[in-house]
This record gives sequence, C-alpha cells and structure tokens, in this order.
Amino acid sequence: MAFRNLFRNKRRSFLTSLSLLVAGFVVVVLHGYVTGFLKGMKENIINWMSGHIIIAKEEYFSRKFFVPQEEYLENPYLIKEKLKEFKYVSFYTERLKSMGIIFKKDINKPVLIFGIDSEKERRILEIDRKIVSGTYDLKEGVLLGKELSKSLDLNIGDTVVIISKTVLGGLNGIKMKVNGIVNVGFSEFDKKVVIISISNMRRLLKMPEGVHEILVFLKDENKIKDFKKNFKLNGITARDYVQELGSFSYYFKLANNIYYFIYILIIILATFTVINTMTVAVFERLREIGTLKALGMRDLEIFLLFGIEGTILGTFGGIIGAFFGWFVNIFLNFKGINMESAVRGMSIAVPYVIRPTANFYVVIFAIFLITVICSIVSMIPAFYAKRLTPQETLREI
Amino acid sequence: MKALILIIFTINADEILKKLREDRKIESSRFYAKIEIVKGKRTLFKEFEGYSKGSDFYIVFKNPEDKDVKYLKIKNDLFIYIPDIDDIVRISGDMLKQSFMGTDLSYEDLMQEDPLRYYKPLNIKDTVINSDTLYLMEIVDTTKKAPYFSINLFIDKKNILIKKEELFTKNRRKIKEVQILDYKKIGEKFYPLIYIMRDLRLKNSYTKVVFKEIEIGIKVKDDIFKLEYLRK
Repeated sequence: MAFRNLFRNKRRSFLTSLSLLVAGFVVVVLHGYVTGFLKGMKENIINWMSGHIIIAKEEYFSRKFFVPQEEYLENPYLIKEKLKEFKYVSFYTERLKSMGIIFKKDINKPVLIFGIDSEKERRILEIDRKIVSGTYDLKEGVLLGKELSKSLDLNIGDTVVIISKTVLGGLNGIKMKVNGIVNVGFSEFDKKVVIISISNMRRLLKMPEGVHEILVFLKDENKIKDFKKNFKLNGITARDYVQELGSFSYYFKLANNIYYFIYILIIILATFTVINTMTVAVFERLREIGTLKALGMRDLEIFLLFGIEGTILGTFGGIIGAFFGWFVNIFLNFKGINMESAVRGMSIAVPYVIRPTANFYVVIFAIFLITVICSIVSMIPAFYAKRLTPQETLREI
Repeated sequence: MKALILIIFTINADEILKKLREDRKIESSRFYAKIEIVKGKRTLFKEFEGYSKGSDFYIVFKNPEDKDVKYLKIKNDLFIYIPDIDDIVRISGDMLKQSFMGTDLSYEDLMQEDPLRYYKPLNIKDTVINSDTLYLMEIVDTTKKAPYFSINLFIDKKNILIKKEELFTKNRRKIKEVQILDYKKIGEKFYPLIYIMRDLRLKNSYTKVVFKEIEIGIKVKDDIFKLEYLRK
C-alpha cells in the first residue's frame, strides 16, 4: 500500500526523490573526488619521496630538511641483505639526493637533484609516461621538471651546468645535455627537480660508493609496522611515509572525518523534502487515515504505512543518485580531472590530475546512509499520523 | 642630564663603530688560511690562499678534495671556477644564502663589503666575559639592506677590537655567532687571525678559520681580478 501511495502524486514523489538523488550523487562523487585527491597525494609522496618505507642514516633524517649529502649509507649491501629477510618486500630502489643550482649561461635556479637507477625507477616514477619531450636517457643527459625547464627556457639538447656541494663539503659541477622534460605531476617537484643517473650523481657529489636513501615498497601496506619493528641496524633508521608526511598525516585524517560529517549533513538537508512531502501527505489523507483507523487498522500499521512510504521515496532517489555518481566516478577516474592551473605553485604534493576513486562500497555506504536517515525522518510525519484518532481526522474534513 | 648622557653615549658608540669599520678596511692583501669544519661527528679540513684588493677578492682552494676550486669577487658579483668542468658560474639570488664550501659562512657573509655600514648603535654597556670587561654594543640595521637585523658586538675596551659577534634576525632569533680568538697587529691596525663561526640553526656545527699567513698593503696585480684569470 505504501508503494502504491507513491504514485498518487507522481510529480511530488519525483521531486522528493530527485532531492535525494542529488544528495546520493553528491556524496558519492564528493567522496570519490576527496579520496582520489588524497590518494594522488599519497602516491606522489610514496613514489617520489619515501616509498612505503625509507631507510637512511639517523643523522640524515635529523637534518633531512637541509638534504645533508655527507650523511650517506656507506655500505648499502648490508641493508640489501637484511631486506631479503622480509618476504613481503616487493622491491626497493636506491637514491642519491642533493640540493644544487642549475645554470643556463647566467641564469640559475635552485634545484633538487635526484640520482636514480633508471631501470628500477621506470616502474616507480613512471617516467616513460610522464616524458613531455625528449627521451628517458640518463647515461649522458638529464631530465628536468616541466616548470623548471620552462622557467629557464631550456629545450632538448641544451647544455646545462649543475653544481652541488660534495660529500666532502666542497663544491663540484657537471655539464650535461637536457635529454628529456618530465611532467612530474605535482608542482613542488615540477619546478625544481633534476633527474640524473646514480653514477653521474656520484661523480657530482664526489662519492665513490653509497646512497642516501633506500626506498622500500611492500606487497602489503599493512606490513609497515611489522617491518619497522623487525628492521634493526645500528645507526640506520627506517621511517614510513606517514612519518615523512609529518603533521600533514593528521590533517589528512581530520579532512576525512570532516568530509564524513559533510556527507551526513548533505543527506540530512536533502531529507527535509521527505519530511515536507510526507507531512503534506498526512494532511491530505486525514479522511483516509480516519477511515482506516475506524475500520480497525492499528496505530503501528498507520505508522509503518507512512514511515515505509517516506523511506522508499528517499531511498529510491538515493539509489539512483549513488549509482549515477559511481558511474561518473568511473568515467572521471579514467579521464582524470586536470587541476594543473589551480594547484600550480602549491608547495605540497597536490597532484595536477585528480582521478576520483570509484569504490563500490561508497555506493553501499551512501544508500545505507540515505535509507537510515530517510527512515528516521519519515518517522516524524508517520508518528503524527499514528497519534491521530478517527474522531480528530473526521473533524478536520 | 638625560640629554647629556644620550649625547655622550651616541658619540662614544658612534666612534667605536666608526673605528671598527675603519679597522676592517684593507687596501690589498695576500693570505693563506686553513679551515676546520665540524658538522656533527664529521670534521673536514680545507686550505685556501688568495688576494684582495679593495672589496674584490680571489681565492683558490689547495686541499686535494677541492683543489683548484676558485672564487672571484668583482664588485657585487661572485664567480666560481669549477675545475672538473673547466667552467665558471656566477652566484646570484637565492644561492647567496647557501653555505660557502660547507662552512658556516654563507656566500652573502663572504660578499659583505664593510658590513657594519648598514648599522647604527642602539645601546652600549659593560659586560664581563672570562673576567675581561668588554663593551656590549647592540647595533641595528637601519637601511633594511643588511643580512642580519641586529648584531651584539662584544668589544675589547683597550684596543677596540671585536671579540665576539652575535647575529640576530628581525624576530630576535640568534642565528649566527662569531668569536674572534686572535688578532695580528700589522702597523697600527689589528687583523683577525683566528675566528670561529657557528650557524646556530645547525646542530653541533662550527667553522674555524686560521689565517696562517697574512700580508697587508702589498702590491697585487690587477689581472688577478679578471674572469680570464680563473681559468689559469
């Protein structure tokens, strides 16, 4: 009976459902966007800065802000041997890092120099995909961030001089050709990153062997705690990416919680239309309620009649909206939302392209939330209808 | 009375500052120095020799790790010759704030020509350090051009020589400290021979510079202060 009542005023039912449809859509799309944004940031941090775990000297971490070249791991073989003990380690890569200056004739810019193993990093940094022009050839050349190359008006084939402090506290430079320009994917690095091979980096820093960091990637992120607990080497520290994020990790958690509050608020606001529609329905059907009660329909049945009608009204719209939002997320995940012009200049790893996540559990979550909230708010007019007596309803006619 | 004290203080402090600035003026020089750089558990040693003429200087490093790295300051420009690439680069902009060869000195510190000219005395009083009574004079940058907002100068009363400098930012954060441990008297003037500089933003870090040889007022060839000379 509750279901049939939905079609008594089709336009009103449609408009009420539409408001919940919009609410369901907004919740799913917003959740997809927010998680996509945070996921993009997390990926940038893991791939470019820390891996799941970053291993370096204790002194290196204590002065990491200054990129202390002299605090390098002299004997990374010990660490590599130790890593073999952890079966859940997927792979690892070694990196050298330094702050330096890049010169094109008289113009110069401060840069962050990455010395990498080009083959291993192909998988992590996805440079092949990110090359805007030139090639991924680090043997005799360098790769530059897109914004950096733009600010120095550098093109493929141009020669640059890169100078840096050496591990001996001196100064050294290398002269190399620009072999490729890379769209790093976030502004912080795009405007300052220079990528060279690990051997050229050693030449620049005047270090015969050793690396600054070993980035470890795990098969299962949940094993981070276990890894940190069991990885013990004197003077060497393993930190996870959350530690590397510092206070940002708390902001991420806080942002997530705030968004959950916002989702609930959106749905509550939308369900006001259900209260409104159902209250009007109760007043329109006073004679009917009186007659039904006079014929012996119990209060609980009247309560359920209006309660179920309101719940169906809201949930129906919510289901369509949530699924519609999910399909939009699938599409946007594939296509990506380019925010480059908006986020350029930001000093954190905010991705240029945000790919909303399309998790089905969010659809379930949104439908569940809408159903629960709709059933709660529908109780208000249903409770009013339940309390009415046949005499009261007949007096209103 | 207050006005009189103020006038006496102003004359005294201004004159001291004037003398300190005078003492720093060197027409020309030749020098050979050793540097000890301590960064945490690591200690590095460097050696350099060079020449100065007016505000310009030329430095060439002699220790094996930095052999033939050369610096040339001409007016407001600082050039570095890097032997590995046989090329010269000009240091400018943000890089001037970077450390000079891993020391606690920045390029900016190195480039300062008559650095006290930006400052005016704010107050002066007596203070005791290691049983020596010194002037403690606070000077403040009035031009907004100096790299440090204010400096506390600890001045030897007898010879009017700086014993220690504390360098502050605008929000009164002490970021550097310079202790001059020894002076050499050449003619009527005293020249710093040994000093220790600490960048207080770095933990357990200091740089000790010891001038092993110093000649003042010698004839220095003009050719040295030309870019072409760096490649020689």
